[in-house]
Amino acid sequence: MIPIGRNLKIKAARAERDMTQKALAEAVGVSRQTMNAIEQGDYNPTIRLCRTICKVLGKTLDELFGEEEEHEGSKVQY
Amino acid sequence: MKDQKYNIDEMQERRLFQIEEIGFWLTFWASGAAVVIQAVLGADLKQIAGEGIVLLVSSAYLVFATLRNGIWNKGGPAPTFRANALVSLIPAVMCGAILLIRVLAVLKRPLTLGVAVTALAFAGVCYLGCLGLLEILRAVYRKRRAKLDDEEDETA
Repeated sequence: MIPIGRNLKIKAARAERDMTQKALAEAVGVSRQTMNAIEQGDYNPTIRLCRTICKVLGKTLDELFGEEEEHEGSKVQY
Repeated sequence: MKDQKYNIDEMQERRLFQIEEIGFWLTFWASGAAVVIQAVLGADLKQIAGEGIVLLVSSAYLVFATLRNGIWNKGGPAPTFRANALVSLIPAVMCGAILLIRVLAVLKRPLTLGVAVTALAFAGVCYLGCLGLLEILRAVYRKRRAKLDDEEDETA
C-alpha cells in the first residue's frame, strides 16, 4: 500500500473559506475525527468522499488530492 | 420524542470492520486453543463439541465465502502444491503430538514402539487428509478465479 502524506491542500482550502475542521466535517457528513485523519494522512478516503470534499470546498480533485507532478491536462472539474 | 438515527462515516465503518476482524480471529484462535488444550488434558469429544462446532461453522463460512469471491488468503503463501504440503505439516504434527501426549500423560501408558508408530501413522493420516482437502480447495479456487477473471466487461 502506498503511504499517504499530510494533506495540507485541504487545510489551505478550508482557510480560504474560513472553515473550521468541524464545519467542513459537518458539511461533508463525516466526523471531525475522520476529517482530521484525512488531513493528517492517516486515512485514505474513498473517491466518493473526495468528491464531496471537493464540492464543498469548490476545488477540483487534482487541486485537493492530485500528485504534485501531475500534468494540468488531467484535471477533473466538478 | 423522535429517535435520531445513529450513523457512522466511512472511516469509522472501516475501523469497525478492523475491530470486528480482530475480535473474530481472537475468538477463532481462542476456541482452537481451547480444543487443543482440552484434547491434551484428556477431554472426550462431548466436552469439546461446543468449541468444535464454533470452529467448524466459522471455518466452513470462511472457506465458502473466500472461495466464492476468488480469494485464497491475505498475503500468505501462494496457492501451490508445495505451500499446501508445507502447511499440512502443522495440523499433522499437532495431531500426532496430541495423541502421543494423551497416551503418555492421560492414559499413563509407557512409550513403546507401537505407541510411537500409532502416533506417527495418525499424523500421516492427518497430513494426507489435510493436504487432500487443501488441494481440492485449491482446484476449486483456481476454477472460480478463472471464471471471475473471464467475465465479460459491460461494454464488451
